[in-house]
Amino acid sequence: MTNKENIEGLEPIDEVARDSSVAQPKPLPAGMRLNIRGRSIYLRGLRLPPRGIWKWLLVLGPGLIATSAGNDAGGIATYSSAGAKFGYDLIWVMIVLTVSFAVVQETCTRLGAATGRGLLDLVRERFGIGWTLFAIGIIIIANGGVTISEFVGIGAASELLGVSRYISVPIAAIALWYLVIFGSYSRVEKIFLLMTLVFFAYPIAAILSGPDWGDVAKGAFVPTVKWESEYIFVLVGILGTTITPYIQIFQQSSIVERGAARRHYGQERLDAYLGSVFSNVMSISMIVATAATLYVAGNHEIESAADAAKALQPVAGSAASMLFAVGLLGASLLAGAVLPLATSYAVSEAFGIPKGVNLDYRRGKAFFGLFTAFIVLGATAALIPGIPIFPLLVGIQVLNGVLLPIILIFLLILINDERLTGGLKNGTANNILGWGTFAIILIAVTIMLAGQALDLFGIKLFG
Amino acid sequence: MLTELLRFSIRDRTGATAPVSDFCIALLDDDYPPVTHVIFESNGERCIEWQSVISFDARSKALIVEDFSSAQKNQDHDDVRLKRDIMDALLLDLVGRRTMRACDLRLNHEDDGSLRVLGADAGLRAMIRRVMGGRFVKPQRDSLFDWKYVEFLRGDPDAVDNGAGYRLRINRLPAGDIARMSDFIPYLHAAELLKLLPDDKAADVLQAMGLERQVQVIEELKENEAVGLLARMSPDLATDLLGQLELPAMRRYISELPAERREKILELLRYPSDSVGGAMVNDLLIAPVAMTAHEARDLISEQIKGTEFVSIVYVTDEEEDGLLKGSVSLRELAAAGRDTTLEELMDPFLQTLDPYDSASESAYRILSSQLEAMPVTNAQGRLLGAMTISAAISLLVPVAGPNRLRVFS
Repeated sequence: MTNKENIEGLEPIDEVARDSSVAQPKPLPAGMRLNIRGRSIYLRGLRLPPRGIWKWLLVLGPGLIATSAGNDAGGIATYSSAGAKFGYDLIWVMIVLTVSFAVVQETCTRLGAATGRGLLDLVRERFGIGWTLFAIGIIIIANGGVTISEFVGIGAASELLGVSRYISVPIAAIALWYLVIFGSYSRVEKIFLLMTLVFFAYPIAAILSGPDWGDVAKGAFVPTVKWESEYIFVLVGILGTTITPYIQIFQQSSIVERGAARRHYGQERLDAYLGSVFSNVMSISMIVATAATLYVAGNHEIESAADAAKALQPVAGSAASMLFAVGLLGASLLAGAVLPLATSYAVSEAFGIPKGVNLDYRRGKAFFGLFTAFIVLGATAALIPGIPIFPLLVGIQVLNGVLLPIILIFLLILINDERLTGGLKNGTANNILGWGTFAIILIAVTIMLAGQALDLFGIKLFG
Repeated sequence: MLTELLRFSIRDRTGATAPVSDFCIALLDDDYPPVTHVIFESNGERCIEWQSVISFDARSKALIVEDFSSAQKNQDHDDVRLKRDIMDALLLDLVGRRTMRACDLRLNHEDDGSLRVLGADAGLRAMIRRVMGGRFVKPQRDSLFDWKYVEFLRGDPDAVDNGAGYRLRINRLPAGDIARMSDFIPYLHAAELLKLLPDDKAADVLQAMGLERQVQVIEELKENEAVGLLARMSPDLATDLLGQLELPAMRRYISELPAERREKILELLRYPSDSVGGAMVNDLLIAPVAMTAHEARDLISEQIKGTEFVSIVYVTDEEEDGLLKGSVSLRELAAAGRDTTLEELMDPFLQTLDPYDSASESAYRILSSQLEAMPVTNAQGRLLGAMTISAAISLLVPVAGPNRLRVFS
């Protein structure tokens, strides 16, 4: 009930002293003057286009994250091994691969933006339940294995930095879990982007290792091919490490969750290209750092990323070694979150269940449950003393090798389906590059699988 | 089940057989759509009308027809087929308000000879049955979704304009439920879904979607459709959406809006999005101070239909500058005596907000004071709009917040 009589201390609105309202003018955000129907109006409620450095930083997103996650513990081991075994000889492969990598990643991005759907979503609709279950089966097993290797990487890196794995691995697992379960997609994306900064440790380590830049340039632009089994297998390993199914799955699903639409596709394309180039520059840095030190010192046997960091210390100094360890820690943390996320996206898409970091827990039980299961599996397995990580990685490489050409075929068929992609369908140049990449990968995977099959019978491919 | 039927062949009186590859249905003919044609492979894809099927031979897994040699080559690519279009596609379960993928479809051979789709099976057993080619695993009723309450989308907004058939039962759901479902489907499906709805409902659904999804969806609509929806949306929510669009699109849409709605939106766009002005509604019930309750009721009855916020009537002076004098609730106005003036009726002790105040701080003020809305005035006391309690709640309570906290509860 309202008492209409004056109450002490309160006055009717029209008697309030106008001059007492604001002591100082408030700072107002900038707006934009627009001419609408002949009227010039100053509007502050618009989303202003980003300017300066923000214009470029805001481009970065799933492309940079997905490709950087590919430089995980396994990747660092492969690139370090390439540098330690063959010096600068394999840098040219990375240059060629950058083109293929960029084409594949850009295709995923375009498919995601054009359809608003993840890769496994489209695979289920277009290729049916059989192929979907086949792909999902491999994805779950392979990504589960790689997730374990990422947590092993976290443990190894932290021990190089003086922290026990029994402390670092559980903390890392809880932090990654908390970030995804309680964070929004945009927050998760920002933190993942910040985590990619750690990769700058590798170019710095490469510079600190004092390479002969003339030899680096020669390795980059003068292709060298050796018909030796070890060379071929390292080459195939580089290929399989650089272009990996989980990178494609994560990139496409993240593009969808980011809300990219076909009408604003240019920014996402740039992100895919920048990410591929950034990731491969980091990979080349790893090759350069180990080639300039371990290869020159005659230390050719590197099995893991931690081995590389340890081996660098006597020849390149503790700074380079520490940088390698920091890089390994950051890379494993990033991939330790990206892999479970990629798997959760893939399974949810395949079975039509709600997915996405932005979901609330009640609606996304299956999505978050799977993510949680992968984190728990990775962290727990990584703490088992003496876990045979090397044979595990070999097995995963075989599984990913089987899946990769199939994923690429799916991608290329889907992106060429005009009903699905409309104006964003592949052009001739993209098709030549895409199918060319598929052919190279098919040959590489065949060699790898044949080599490993023959190895079981004690037969060595290429002598 | 469809997986079993797809293992059938078609056989005619001469003993010739051909494998069945799919079935066409008349999606809109009934709640449980009938199969119209059988597609089979015999020197390419051919189709024969369902009426030509004389009988089922379950033992030899054959559909018996008189003669299929003269069956037509299938030319119709816009038909709806069970295997090609519906199996594995994203379907909306209107009862559970969720999405699913059909792993199998239940069909029933009716007494009148027709074969009808009764439901979609999205369960794990259906998936196993599918992989096993329809063998071993029996269907279970509890994983079946009644086809009557399933909506099938194509993932193409233009399909609506191109005459694709829809069941339209989705119209019966509340706008909020449709919006939540739209958040979980791809944006092209969401745009298609929106185009199925009557304009007023579509506008309600659009404004209930997340802002990012609104942007994706509106960009997929034709310009006249987008403008139509913007004109029907609440001005403050339409402003939020317009503020997120690329400038050329925003300018075009605003220019095409009806003049009155355009003015309201432009007024709101003057303020930063994180300010009170950016969160307020400026579509209010307003009456001059000298009016009697009777006159005010007549005035309000004219205004109320097209006004967004109707719980409170704001009382202003009679000059053109619209200085705020007080407010009266709709309930008080309805109950007031005929000749009581608004000046007598109104509450003149109002707390007001400045349009450039922080939106979140002001939202706290509204919630803590438990007011339905706080008027927004400029430095001269002119009424600009009101920040409502629902705007305050949506600013302060993130959609996912309470549910996420349940993890630990």
